[in-house]
Amino acid sequence: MMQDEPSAVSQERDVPVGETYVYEVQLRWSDEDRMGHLNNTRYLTFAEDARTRWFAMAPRDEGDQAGFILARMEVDYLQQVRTADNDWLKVVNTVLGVGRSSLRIQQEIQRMDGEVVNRVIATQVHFDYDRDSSVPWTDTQRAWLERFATVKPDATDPVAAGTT
Amino acid sequence: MTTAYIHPIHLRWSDEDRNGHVNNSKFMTYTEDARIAWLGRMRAETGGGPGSEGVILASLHCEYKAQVHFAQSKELEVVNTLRRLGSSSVELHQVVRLPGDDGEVVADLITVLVSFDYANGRSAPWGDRQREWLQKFTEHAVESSPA
Repeated sequence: MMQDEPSAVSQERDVPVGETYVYEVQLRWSDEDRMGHLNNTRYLTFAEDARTRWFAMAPRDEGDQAGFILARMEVDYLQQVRTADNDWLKVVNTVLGVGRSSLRIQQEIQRMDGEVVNRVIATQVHFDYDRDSSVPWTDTQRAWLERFATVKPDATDPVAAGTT
Repeated sequence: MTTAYIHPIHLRWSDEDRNGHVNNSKFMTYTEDARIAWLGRMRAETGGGPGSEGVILASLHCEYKAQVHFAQSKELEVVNTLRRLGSSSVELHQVVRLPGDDGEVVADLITVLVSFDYANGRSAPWGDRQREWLQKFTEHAVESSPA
């Protein structure tokens, strides 16, 4: 296995730049809390919805049982959002790095005019739920994921560098 | 000809529960959003004034007609009509269905709202403009079971 090799994303290569997956979120009145702004937990739900729709499009081999499981999240709360002023937000998704069986993504939550209100960095693992273990990406999946790589990964980051 | 206020709903993955269907409580959230949007439009179109500043939920009756599975339908709509207009209350019929006139009905709700003065903690009668606006949505022919 090539698990200690840097992933193709982190090598100098002709990676198409600019492909993103954009998911639009309809806000609900009950997303606001007593502070009159979107509750902090809602952003995680929005990011989850974006990932669900995005990864549903990922290629999978015949008989492939594996799905995606969330392993890590970091969230920057940049702006407050009020539902009175915003009916919709959008989640702009890109890939930061592809590991052997993991994936590091950025999910920017933006107002419809593009202002960034929240930034999520998440690590997903390709996971066989029945066997309770991770599964390496197939070449097809890796190629599909790398299409969304728009940021050159930090080589010191083990996940982005593909060493996990 | 009845005017209905139709509010689209986009489901979330987490709306489903362990049973693999949209959890019963989510229909309350969907119809809540429909009411908020509908009454927001009333405020905008009647220019506010007495009886349009706030409403409070007084009663809710829900009949669950069909399960909703996120894998099959990611969108629903709430069709809102008015059953009865009181001096400071309104009885609504809120039908949750798959999108479109032929969409399967998945939940059928009757909700009663009261125009409410939150500062003083009591009901606040509708103004004439609000009454006129609300009456446009009166349900003339009730296709589902009458109350």
